[in-house]
Amino acid sequence: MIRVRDLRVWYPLRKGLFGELLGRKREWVRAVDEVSFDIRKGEVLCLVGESGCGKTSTGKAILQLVEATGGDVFIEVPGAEFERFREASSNPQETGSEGIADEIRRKYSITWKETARWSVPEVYAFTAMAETALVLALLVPAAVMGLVADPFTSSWATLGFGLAVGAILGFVASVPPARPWRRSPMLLALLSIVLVIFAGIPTFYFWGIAHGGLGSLGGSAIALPWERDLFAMLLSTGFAPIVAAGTSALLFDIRQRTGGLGGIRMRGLRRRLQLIFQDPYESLNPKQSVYEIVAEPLLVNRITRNPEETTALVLAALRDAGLRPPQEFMFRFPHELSGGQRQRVSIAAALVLQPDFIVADEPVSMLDVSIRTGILQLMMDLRASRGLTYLFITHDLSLAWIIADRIAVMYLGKVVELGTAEQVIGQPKHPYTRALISVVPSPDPRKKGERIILKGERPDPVNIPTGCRFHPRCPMAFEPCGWNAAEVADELRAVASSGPWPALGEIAVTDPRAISIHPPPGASAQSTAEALRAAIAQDRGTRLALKGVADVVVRGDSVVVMLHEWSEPPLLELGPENMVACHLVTPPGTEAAAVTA
Amino acid sequence: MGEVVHGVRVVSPFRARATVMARRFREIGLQILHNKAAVLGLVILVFFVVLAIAAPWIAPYGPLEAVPDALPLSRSSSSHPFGVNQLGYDIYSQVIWGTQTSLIVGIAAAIVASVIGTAVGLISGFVGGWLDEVIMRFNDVVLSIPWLVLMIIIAARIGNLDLWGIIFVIGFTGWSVTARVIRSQVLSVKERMFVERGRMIGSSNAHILIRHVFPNAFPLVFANTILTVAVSILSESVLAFLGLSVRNTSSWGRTIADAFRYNALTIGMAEWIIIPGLCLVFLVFGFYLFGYALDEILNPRLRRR
Amino acid sequence: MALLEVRDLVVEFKTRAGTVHAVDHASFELKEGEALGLAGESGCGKTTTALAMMRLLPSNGRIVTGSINLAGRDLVRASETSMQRVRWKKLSIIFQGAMNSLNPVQRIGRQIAEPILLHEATAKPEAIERAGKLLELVGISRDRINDYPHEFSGGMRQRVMIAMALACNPSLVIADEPVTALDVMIQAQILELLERLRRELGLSMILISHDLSVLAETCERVAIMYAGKIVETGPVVDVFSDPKHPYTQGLVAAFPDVRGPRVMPEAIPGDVPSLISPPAGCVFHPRCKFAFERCTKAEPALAEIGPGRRAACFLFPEVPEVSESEIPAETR
Repeated sequence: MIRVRDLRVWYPLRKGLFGELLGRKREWVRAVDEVSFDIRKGEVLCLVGESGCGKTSTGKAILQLVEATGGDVFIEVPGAEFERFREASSNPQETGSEGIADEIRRKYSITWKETARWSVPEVYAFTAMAETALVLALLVPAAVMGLVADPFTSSWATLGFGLAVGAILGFVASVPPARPWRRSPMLLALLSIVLVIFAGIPTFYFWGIAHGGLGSLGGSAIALPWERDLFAMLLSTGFAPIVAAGTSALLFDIRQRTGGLGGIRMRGLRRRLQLIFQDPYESLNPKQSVYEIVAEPLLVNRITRNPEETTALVLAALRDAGLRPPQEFMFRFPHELSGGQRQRVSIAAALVLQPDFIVADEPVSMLDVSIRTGILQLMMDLRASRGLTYLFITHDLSLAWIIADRIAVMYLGKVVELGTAEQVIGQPKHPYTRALISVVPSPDPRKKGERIILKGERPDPVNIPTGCRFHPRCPMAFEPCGWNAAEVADELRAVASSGPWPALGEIAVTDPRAISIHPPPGASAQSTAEALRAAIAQDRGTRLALKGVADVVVRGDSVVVMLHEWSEPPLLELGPENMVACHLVTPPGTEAAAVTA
Repeated sequence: MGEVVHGVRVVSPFRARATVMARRFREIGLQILHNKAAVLGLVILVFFVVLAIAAPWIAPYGPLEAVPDALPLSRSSSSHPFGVNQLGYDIYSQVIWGTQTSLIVGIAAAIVASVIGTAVGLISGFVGGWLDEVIMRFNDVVLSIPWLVLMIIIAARIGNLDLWGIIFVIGFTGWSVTARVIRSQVLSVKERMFVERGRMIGSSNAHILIRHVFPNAFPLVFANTILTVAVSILSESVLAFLGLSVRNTSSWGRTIADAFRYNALTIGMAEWIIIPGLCLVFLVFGFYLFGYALDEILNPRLRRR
Repeated sequence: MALLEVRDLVVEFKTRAGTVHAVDHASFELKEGEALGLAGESGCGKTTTALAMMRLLPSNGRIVTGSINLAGRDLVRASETSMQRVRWKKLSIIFQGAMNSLNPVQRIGRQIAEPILLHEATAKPEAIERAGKLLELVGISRDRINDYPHEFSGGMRQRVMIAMALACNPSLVIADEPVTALDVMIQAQILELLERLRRELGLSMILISHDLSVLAETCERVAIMYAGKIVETGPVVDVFSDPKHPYTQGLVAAFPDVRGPRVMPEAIPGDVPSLISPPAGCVFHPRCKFAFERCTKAEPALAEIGPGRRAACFLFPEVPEVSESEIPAETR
């Protein structure tokens, strides 16, 4: 039903204004880094992983709550079309293949971005908005300028000042915003009203001019300084949007628009994809009654035409969510409900639009244990009765064990293992999955297995390890897993400072795959190289980083340590339904089928 | 009363909302009555409001009516409890009429300031980005000028203010604090989960602003407005003291100014300064108490789940 | 030889809505070097019991009756000054969510040294030195002694809290939900750390958690609390594999087991009762599927139903009703 391909969600790390100006390279938090999987109709797919692995960002990106930085999320793309897409994207050098791929993306992928022109009403609305706010803010300084700097201003100067301000504002306001502006007639109407008021106040004030004709401009009507300012405001308020529209049409042609499926179709899709939030306390507006919360999706999407219809749908949704009798709950407020009841309201609000697909982001983790079952059972019942598909995001593996059809394990933004629940939990293949499962406690104390407790903590998503992301903590890492020169150098320094091996001298990282070592005074390069080889051979079982060393050679009078080539393990199919991304399981060079499902 | 839907009597949502709001008001009302500060403040306010409303009937003389039977600058007597000032006005009446001015100007100016400040704060906080930055820098500029000085300069420059004039002058100088307060509330509310939910179901920005952000930022606005009233009353008095306020009504500030000008202290009529001064203090104190208590009630800080 | 003996502890809170009976005649023991788990859902009184033991109840709470006997000294009757000599030196606590309450503008070393400086008459340099040793004890490199809290991850901050709790070498540590907010791998690390510290330092521990799995992994004995009462105690293996009290049965069945069958866990119907007006008779009877008439009228006392096991349920005929007399101590 939903196919995710190479999804990327990267958050920019702001280095501050100076950093950006100085051209320092932009750093990204790579929360989701090329993730691909399928969600089949009617199934429960669990995304599991620890905090920071990217599971929540993935879920939100599928719903377009968070903008995807790259990749595609295909919704209900027919098999034949998808085949064409696959062929086109795997043969990029063929002519026209990019066109084919893009065409299919445009039709079926939520994350497709297109550019489109500004339309005049949009420009007007945006300009009016910016203008109003800035003019408001300029009121006082303008007034002060008119009043205090008296020797330097005359009525015309102030007028000119106002016009200039208006022109500048209009120009600046015509720059397309970084984020696309959601147009809505309501907003335009509101802004028009504000604009009218803003132009209206001075206009009414200067009614005298209209009566006396323009000749009285220099006369009594705007004799007082603040009246001049007000008049200037009036002119600039009307003037600026015209300037803005013209400028924009001349200079700026394109702006971003999301939704490859078009505005209206996106709206229709929104109905079918819903989200259940994690925190039952925070996800409900404390100022809204249950009725208003559940009715809001209906009202916002203009689905019902009268209050009776709305009430009927709200009652039905509350009943389906297990809040019976629904009338009793309709007009209560969130603070009067228990945690489980609030979560049911959340579910009712998600159900009221009759969705097909629900992303549940840790829906029970903040509830008491005895209440969790109720909510989980409800979700499974709804799946049976309404044919729902779930993407269940959780960090709790025991929960995934009991409700998932398939499980995808994520680590640092990548899927490391994917398979049915029995495969992933019963026979985990990836070292991370095996460690994770071994460490999950059971309520039955007799079932204490051997726990593989990983050392250290997960790295920062800004500095993702080279090669396989898991290699610094993996107890079974070996040559191609990604030991880079910095890591191996650190390990060599540790070797040198402990142990009976002679001091190795200066260790320098020359390039990512080589380390050069100057022999200590009094020793030759040859002997140092030999001592090093011996040390590495002895310690590589305990100091895993040494496994990255391919060879130790002598170049001139220094020793160079060459490292193995590494690569990031792709997610390869191991067996039916089972995919793992690990060099150990699928050694590089095997011809296993890549992710295509 | 309501339609029958699915075999169940259903009340229309508006009526339900009304009953719920009525319930909430009663709740808040009860809480107010329990809070000693609120009650005290309320008593003071009610006293002054009644005084202001009943002025035409209580005050023996009009605001600009010279008394026929006493000399200017005369001391208190039975018919003129506070004496008569240099223009022949009965001070007692002046003080009563002054209540009207203070309250009207104070409340109206506070409303103007709140409306502008709320609008600016909402837009600035919600839209964010460079617009927010620009507005906030202007706000900083306005805030860095002492409001008293700013107000005095503007009022002096404009001169000849009528009632609306002074309301707008005070209102236009007082919006910056409100804007800042509202903006910070908006920034925090904007990030809350239910706003995210609103976006997810496809609400437009306007809808989110009106239905989600504003109602949750409003309680703060309300309490803030009441405190702004106190500030506005003081401002008006200052302006009146300096002779910048409305010409043809009486005001406590003006009464005090007159008293100073005609050396009330030396002739032993200190009441001319003390009485209006005390009225001012009490009125401001009343608003302050009530506003503070209301803030505590509407925004409970440590409410547990 | 019991290090800690709590008998008939009753704690009440005065609120505007009424008197909350947070802990109702709780009794349990802790042997030296033992780890006791205090299990129960939110609001059942576990944290209140811990605070009562430390005599750190908020101003509207008070210990109505009962005794808390730590190595022969009754903490309920102790004066505030003698409590100050007990706190942190004999008995310390890691509060719930404490790792998020570190002072963000103070260095870690200073914060760990603070209890040392407050409770013992040491000079500052020596206290900092001991803080460094404590850091190493909990597995953090000593060089980080001058770092600020925000430079540490959640798991490491919890280690810092453990170090703080051990600052004055107590014999008993109470840990209130020590791993609740942490990832499962970090959880395992912290639990392993606590286990190691128990062995090396001979600590006794009371571990409070709503997560039965965590208690199953780490504790030797467990006490289950519900609505302020202790409903069952016993060795953790026995209580979880063969629970006797209906609530315990329900609770154990509500936890999914990753090593068990793929079945939906069972829910306990109904809601937790109000602690201001608890139901008459057995506090669990409205939700109990085995309830019979006696349960609605009388309250079962916590009594021995097997070797080393106690339960408060009339399903066991030997369980008496609660009277005003003291509950006899457990016989071994």
